[in-house]
Amino acid sequence: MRILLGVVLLSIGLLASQITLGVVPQQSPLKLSKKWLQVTAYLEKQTGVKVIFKTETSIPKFEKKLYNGEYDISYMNPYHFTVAKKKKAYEAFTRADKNIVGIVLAKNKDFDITKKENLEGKTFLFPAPNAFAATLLPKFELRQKYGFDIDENARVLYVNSHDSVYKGVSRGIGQVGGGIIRTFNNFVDKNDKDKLNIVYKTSAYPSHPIAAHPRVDKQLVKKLQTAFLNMPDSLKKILSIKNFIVTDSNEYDVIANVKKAE
Amino acid sequence: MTFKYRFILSFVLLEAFFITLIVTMNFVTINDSSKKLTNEKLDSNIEFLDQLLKVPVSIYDLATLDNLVNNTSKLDYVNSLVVLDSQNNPLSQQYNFKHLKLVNLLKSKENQSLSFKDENYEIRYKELAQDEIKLGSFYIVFDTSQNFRFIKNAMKNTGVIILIEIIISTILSYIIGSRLTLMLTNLAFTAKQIGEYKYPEVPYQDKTDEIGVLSKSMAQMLVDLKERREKLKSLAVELNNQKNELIEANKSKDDFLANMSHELKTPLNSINVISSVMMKNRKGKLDAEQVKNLKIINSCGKDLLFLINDVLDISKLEAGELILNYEVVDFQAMMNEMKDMIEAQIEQKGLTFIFNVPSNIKYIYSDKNRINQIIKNLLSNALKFTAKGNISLSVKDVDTNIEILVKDEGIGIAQEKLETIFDRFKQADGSTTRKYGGTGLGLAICKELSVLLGGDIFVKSKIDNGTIFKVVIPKKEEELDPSLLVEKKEEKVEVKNEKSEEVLLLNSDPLLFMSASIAIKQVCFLEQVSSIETLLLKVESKSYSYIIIDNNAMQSNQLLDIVNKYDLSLILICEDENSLDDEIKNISKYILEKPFDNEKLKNLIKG
Repeated sequence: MRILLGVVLLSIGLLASQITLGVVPQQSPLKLSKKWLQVTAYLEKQTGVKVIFKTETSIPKFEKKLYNGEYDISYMNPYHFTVAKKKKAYEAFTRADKNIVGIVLAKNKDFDITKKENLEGKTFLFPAPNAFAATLLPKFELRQKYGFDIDENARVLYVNSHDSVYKGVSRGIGQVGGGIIRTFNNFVDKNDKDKLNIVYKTSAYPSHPIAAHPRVDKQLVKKLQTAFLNMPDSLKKILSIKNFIVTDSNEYDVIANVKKAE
Repeated sequence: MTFKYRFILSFVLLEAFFITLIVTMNFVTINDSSKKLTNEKLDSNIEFLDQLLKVPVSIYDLATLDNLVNNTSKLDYVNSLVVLDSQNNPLSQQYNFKHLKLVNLLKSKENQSLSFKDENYEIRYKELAQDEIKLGSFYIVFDTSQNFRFIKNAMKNTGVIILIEIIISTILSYIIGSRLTLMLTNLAFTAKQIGEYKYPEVPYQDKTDEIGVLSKSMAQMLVDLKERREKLKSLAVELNNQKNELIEANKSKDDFLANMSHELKTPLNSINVISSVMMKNRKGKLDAEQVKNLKIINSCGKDLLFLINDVLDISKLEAGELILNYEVVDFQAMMNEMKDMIEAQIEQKGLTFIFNVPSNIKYIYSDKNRINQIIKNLLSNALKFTAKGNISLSVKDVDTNIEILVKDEGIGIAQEKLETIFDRFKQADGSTTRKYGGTGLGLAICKELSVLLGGDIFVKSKIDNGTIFKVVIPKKEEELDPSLLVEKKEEKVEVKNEKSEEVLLLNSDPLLFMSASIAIKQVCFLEQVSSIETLLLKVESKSYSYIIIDNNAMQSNQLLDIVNKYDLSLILICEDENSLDDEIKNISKYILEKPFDNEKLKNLIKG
């Protein structure tokens, strides 16, 4: 009993002195580490706890580790969070203040997405199966609002990136593609961009949360929350985030069913 | 072409040839290795692209494809890149190849090499496949012009450098060649001047190179030459003086010899005649010892006379004062006379005389006396040096010459002595003179006379086997008048017809009777004997119109006996008629005192 207590105390002590921060690899690990190492340094300074930056070379690897509960705190997409919450009881404590809106693009600007017959048998391009705004949101809303199940009634190609979706639609690889406003705005290939039109926008959903594993001390989570909320503008600019706001896990309940049960 | 230009031309040609060879070989190697490197580079690029493109093509990741295509196209050596999907639809492209439209490019799946003026391109097609499933493909156009241009520029630059190098080396070799040629020309000119007995200053002696060494050697040669020329000059003067002195001295000697010989002959004749008379001791006033001494005096006097005659001849020959008396010579008669003269003496010594003169040799144009002198000399030598065996005199008619061969079986001459046998005062052996007597001038005179007659004399000999002398005399038949030849023959017949008398001569002294016998033969048939014994045999077997005997050859009483017994018509030759006994005078039909006149003797016989 005394030994067990000792181990618990030791692990608490360890936990108290060092935590891991897992970041979803939306960009290359090198780019991510450049940005997030400054963030971990900032958090360490604010909390007095050593924060170790971790990421993976691909999203599936990241998901695997996340769902195993290997990260103490993690920056992930809303869908990841719903799974992580379900599997390892991660709790969201802060997020960027913006909301996420998915878009659907086609070459024809009058393409009516609400009519099933327009979508039947078409090729849909998405960046990745679990891309939240670009893949899951359009699939979710079409299914919910217009009763069209893309996976069943159309052909789907995952083309690795938003840009590939835009280019693929433009060059006829697929007729419809899923994306987000920001990446479409940043899409610079004029030849391709000129041929594209946004034919549908999803509702706004809460953006990527930062969530903590239940083993992390609540006080520390509080400290971390405060640190994020008070993050200097220069750092936030690096992360392309205007402001951090307080959130909780309940806020993400709206997207609990964003993905069809597998 | 001068040495200078040959030097420059060969230098430049050789240089150009080897530089071109080296550069060509280098460029071929560079070109090959460049092509190889380029191909390796292209292959590795294609291999990389293959690996990079597979995944994005398989999932239609156009953004990644575009990135790859754009980044690849930014490479200097990549002109265009087109990526196709499995249905050959273009997925991503950067097509800048102006020489071929894209549709045309897509028609061929072969690798191609294209060249346009200064541009070179390599087109490669590659299929993207995974586990034998075709994912797509790509065309890539490599621009290898830079390489091509690099090599072309390098060639151009190298060519310019070679040209400059050849120009510079040509100029340099011209300068060096000109300088060298100038120096050599100057030295050659100096050498020529030296050859013309001038003493110029030798240039370039201050130089330390090979020219300097040559100049110094020439200068040293000049000094030596100068010294030698001066020495030679003084020696030549000295020599000339000595020559003149010698000529003068020789002339004086010749004059002296000629004069002395003449002067010596006059008293010597007296000594010979008087001693000859005295040694007969007709009045019986001298004892045997005195007679013996007188004979010695007479013999020595005769030897001295021969010696003087020889010396006189040789000095005349040397002085070129001996004048030949060319005439038509009845060769047969001459040789017969010679036979008559010598035969008796040879037989007297117990030797056999072989005489062989072909009858076809009739007349020649030469100096009879000189030919006689030569043959007589040779025969007299043969007689002198032969103790037993044969002595032969033979003649051969060879083309325009006659060859007179005098052969003996005497002591012979050593081989090493043959070369000098015809030199003056050289007998085969120094001791020969002492043993056999003689002046040693005989053969020298023979040689000189043979040459003077337009012929020559040769000798062959072997010790103890004998000697052969061959005298070659030109016949000079062109000088003979053919009609004269006929006339002479007729004349000869006529003379022969007139001959009615037969005369016997006791030839006790061939010298004394030599010319006499010739004269006698012109008017009668002459037989000669050398001994009293033979004479007796002759008179016993035959009667003669006249018999000629030298008083000295026979004792008075023996002479009286023979004349009386055979009733001979005696022509007596004596020294002094007054000293003869009356009996002898009585039995003699004619008496002639020595030296007698041959014509007188001839006329006596003719009656």
